[in-house]
Amino acid sequence: MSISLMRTTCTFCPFGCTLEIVRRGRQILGVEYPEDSPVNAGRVCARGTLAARLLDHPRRLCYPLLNGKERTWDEFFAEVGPQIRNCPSDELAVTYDRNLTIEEQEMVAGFAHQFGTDNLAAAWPEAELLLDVLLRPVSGSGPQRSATLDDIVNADSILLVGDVFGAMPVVARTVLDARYRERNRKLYCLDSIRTNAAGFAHKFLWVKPGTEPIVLFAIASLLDARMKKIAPETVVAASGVTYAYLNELAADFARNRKGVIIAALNSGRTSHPELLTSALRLLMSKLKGTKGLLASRESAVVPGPSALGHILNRIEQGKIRILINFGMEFPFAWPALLPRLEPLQLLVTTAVLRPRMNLSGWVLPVPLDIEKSGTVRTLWGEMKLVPAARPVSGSRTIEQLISGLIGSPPARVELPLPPTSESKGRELAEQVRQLFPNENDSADDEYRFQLLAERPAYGFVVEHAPRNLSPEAPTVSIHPADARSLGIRAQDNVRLATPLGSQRFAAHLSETVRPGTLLVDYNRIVTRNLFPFRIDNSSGMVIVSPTRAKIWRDE
Amino acid sequence: MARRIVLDLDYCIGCQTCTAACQAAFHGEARIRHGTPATTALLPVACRHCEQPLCAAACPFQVLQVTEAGLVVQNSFRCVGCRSCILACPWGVIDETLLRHIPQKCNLCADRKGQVGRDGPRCVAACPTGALKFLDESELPKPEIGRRFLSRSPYWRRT
Repeated sequence: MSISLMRTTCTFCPFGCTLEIVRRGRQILGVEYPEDSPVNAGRVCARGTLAARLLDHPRRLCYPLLNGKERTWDEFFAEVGPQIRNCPSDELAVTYDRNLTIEEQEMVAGFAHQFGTDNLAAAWPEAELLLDVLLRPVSGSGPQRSATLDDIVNADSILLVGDVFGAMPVVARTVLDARYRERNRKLYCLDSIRTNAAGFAHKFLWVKPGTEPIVLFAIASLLDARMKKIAPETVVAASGVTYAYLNELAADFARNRKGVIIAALNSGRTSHPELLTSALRLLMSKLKGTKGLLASRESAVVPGPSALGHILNRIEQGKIRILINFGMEFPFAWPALLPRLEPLQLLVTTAVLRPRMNLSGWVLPVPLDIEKSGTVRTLWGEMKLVPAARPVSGSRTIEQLISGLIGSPPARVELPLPPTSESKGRELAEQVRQLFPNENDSADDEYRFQLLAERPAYGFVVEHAPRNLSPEAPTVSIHPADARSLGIRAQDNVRLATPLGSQRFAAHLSETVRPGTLLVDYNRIVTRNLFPFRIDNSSGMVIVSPTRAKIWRDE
Repeated sequence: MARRIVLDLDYCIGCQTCTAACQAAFHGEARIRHGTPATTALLPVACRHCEQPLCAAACPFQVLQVTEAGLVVQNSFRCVGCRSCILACPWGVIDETLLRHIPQKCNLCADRKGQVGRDGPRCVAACPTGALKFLDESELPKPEIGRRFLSRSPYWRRT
């Protein structure tokens, strides 16, 4: 049987890379890299290489599950259909996470609209969702413009905020080409962790965790003489950044007419991601000339009209009885949220892989994006999906699922956008001031480290790939000086504990973290239990924050 | 001299896509993986296809041989899993984990040409920044490869 190459679009992030699935008949052999692909020239990141391995993954879900036990689709529709049809609209919540085409998102919105429920939200409790909000127009102002690859290539100054190369490695080529093109092109990097990108930057603003909004606000105030400034010594003391770097960055962006900001925002990296995005928006508004903002994200999930936090609150209050989620990860990818779902009478969710835990409720098998046709949203516009394989046996498409529940083909409704509000400069200044260290702040003697999270593309492979022959234990990065003081050597087994729980890790000595800081990979589900989350009452965002931790050698 | 994998430090961001691409092609065991030559560097390393391979000299069953093109290839049929090659390799690029009983060593994706008609290793094709290149001797001294490394910012590369 001959080999065929099925060209499709990778949907593991919104970059929209083209790749090919190698098949021999129905057997999936791997991934190939077509050099003539328009956006990525055949290059993919680690997530893209996973595409073929997910298609025939040993844990691929092929049957509906109820409380972890296999059932049939007929049983599901017979049992759940009447419950949903008879449920009052305000007691039903509909959510969605990733692995949905635009058409499927519209069907989900149509499903919610048909039942008259306002409880429609993105079940993607990740800080990067705020970056999508960042690019939406605020009432009374024009739309923000998402930077294009040409903007990056031609940029005089590029500012990377957060772990851009980790979130979206394929963008690195364009950034580095721009960096090397001419000597007067400048690359700046701002982050609390010394990431890959820092090694390439002309100036690296290594901020103390959680102080990114202070620094961004300070840069904005340097660009606008009318803004009230924060005293330089206060900015330096709070953030640890050299003020001369801020002056240089501001002068560059003021002088150069083509500036681009690329931002990445993963959970567990900063305590106030909403302030960070507000400060970014403020900074963008102060830049003159051509400018663009690129949101470097893992997922193209867009916010819905409601918010996950509001829905979780209503579930806790007993006001929502049924939650139905369309996607592939919620809620089992966020174990900390599971207790908040216990009051539900019925939980239905969809998945591609069998969850590692037994979920109370229904888990339904659905196709992967690369098994579907449709349109997906990427950073550069909409792209067509071509199915690289038939949907796995036993799965049902979103259209089939909704049709089975309501008894007719689903209507498609454009997903309503959430209302966008913006903190005014003065209001933001007050909020930013609350981030300044207080003389009353005292470090916790027991949990004396600050625990941050990263989310590199390779971690996604480690978490989701079929078991590799040499499985990688979760690692925690610790500064060598801290390790010496605790008697920890490289690759030692250590135990990391936060107020929420503890977990075993392998120690990785690294100077990418400051002394007093620890770093773990948020891709690994086992690390997520260590981080607390809070619900921002005004926006309803679920925010996962850095936390305090202790670490010791575990024999 | 046959073409070899060359790493351009000016573009390597330590994303480990090369490892992931190799795992995807070879049943979950990567033949190129990241080494930490110093606490501040994370760089991909793979078989160097030495001109006088010590792994081939150590192998008691002539499993590893040098081809006319200068590649060190495995005839896995003869391998008994004695691990002599793993111990002998001065670069440490043959991992001690065995797939069945056979240690995994980079063969520059020799199967790719026959499978899909494309030349070159998959790690090179997948590399998001093009840091990994597949070059022969005449292309090696290209001035721009790695020279910018000397003039880049003083911040260390992350590990």
